[in-house]
Amino acid sequence: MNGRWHALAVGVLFLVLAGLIFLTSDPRVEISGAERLLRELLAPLESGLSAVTRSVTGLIDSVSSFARIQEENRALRQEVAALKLQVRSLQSYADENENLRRIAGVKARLPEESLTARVIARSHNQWFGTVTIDLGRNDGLSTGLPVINADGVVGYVQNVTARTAQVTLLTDPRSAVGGMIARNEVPILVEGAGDPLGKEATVRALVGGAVMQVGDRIVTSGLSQVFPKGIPIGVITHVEYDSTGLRQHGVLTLDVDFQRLDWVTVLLGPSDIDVTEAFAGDSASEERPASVAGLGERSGGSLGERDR
Amino acid sequence: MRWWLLLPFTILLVAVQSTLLAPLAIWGIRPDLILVFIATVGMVSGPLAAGSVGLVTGFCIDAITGRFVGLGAISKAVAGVVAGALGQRVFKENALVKIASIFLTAVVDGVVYFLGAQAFGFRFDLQQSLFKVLLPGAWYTAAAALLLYPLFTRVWGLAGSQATPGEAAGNRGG
Repeated sequence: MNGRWHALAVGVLFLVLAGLIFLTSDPRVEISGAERLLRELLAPLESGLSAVTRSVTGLIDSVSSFARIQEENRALRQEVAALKLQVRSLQSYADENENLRRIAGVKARLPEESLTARVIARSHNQWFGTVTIDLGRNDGLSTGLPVINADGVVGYVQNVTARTAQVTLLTDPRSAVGGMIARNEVPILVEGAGDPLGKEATVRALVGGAVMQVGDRIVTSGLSQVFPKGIPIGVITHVEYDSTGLRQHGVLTLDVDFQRLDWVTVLLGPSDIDVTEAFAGDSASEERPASVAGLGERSGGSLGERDR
Repeated sequence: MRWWLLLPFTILLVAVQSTLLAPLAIWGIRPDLILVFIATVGMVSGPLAAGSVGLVTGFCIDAITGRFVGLGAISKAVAGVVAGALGQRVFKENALVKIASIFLTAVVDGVVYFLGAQAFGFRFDLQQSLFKVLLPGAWYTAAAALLLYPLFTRVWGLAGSQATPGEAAGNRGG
């Protein structure tokens, strides 16, 4: 009997619910009081929990965003560093290209045989100005050969091995090159001053009454039996008389940038020639006075290297 | 059983499900907390208690939803009865069995609701309802039950319910 009552109750309940479902199967504009009460009870709870959810998800988003931003920042920094390296590398290639272009230009204009070498090492101490190049005896190099680049005199070959050669730079205190003032071909002596920056050398007038002026361009005189005539050396920036008041000496700013010496040209041919024209189109030579063009008109003195 | 606790607890679960669980939705599917609770009741106290709890909580949800009022009550009640029946027949201490039982309970709930809505003129797309709503939802609910089952068991115990003889024996044995 009890089971039948239960079954009846379930059946009635089902019918009631079915009726309710039928009545509420379409969307309604009006809702009952019970539904309204439930929703009113639910609303503040949902509102509070939503705020909590927003806070928590906001916090999680912030944390994950922070991590992502940090990661992005780190990636961008790495990219910037890599790009800087690339720019530096490209700049280096551009400089090297420009350097080689200029060397090739000068080399093509040189009337004598020459070899282009790369500087592979620099002085092991700062007292001496030497570099090692990647050509040696096997390439035909020998002691005493002049070394230049597109800007002018670099130095001369001090000694050679089978595959390398050591070049004493013009800035070395042991160096001396016979030069002349381009405008009047008055002979002077250019000596290395041991300038660690490789920017300056000293000049000394060799004949009494010779007048050097600031701004005078100095080129090789061609009488040293080492350097051909007409290779740029530098520009006089300071002049004064010695204690006797008869001879001048001064300071020369060198044309060659010894800090950025990567490629050089070793001249193999005879030194008794005039290479002025080979440097005529060079940018450094463009600054030279017009009188340089008439360099061969009068012969100037040249003493050659001090240590030779 | 303190039945009066069921209403606020249901409201709390509905609120949690509609707010806190929203960010946990996967492809728009959230676990059904109330179904986990009903299944828990079924496992612990049998089909009659679970069917009753399903009926009450389902009706509350229907009233809050405002559409097909009573259909949720029926589907949840049926699901509760099924959960209770399974709880009496399977070795529910095994986690996999428990998950499978709750999955089946969720499927029954979904199928009853689907068929009921169809019967009252609402047209669902069968394939989409089955593969995008019903089955994924059932799996998610079953997975959530792993975490929630112990909590809901305790809540059900605090509500003054009594475990079925089998459950009581199981608890003593465990």
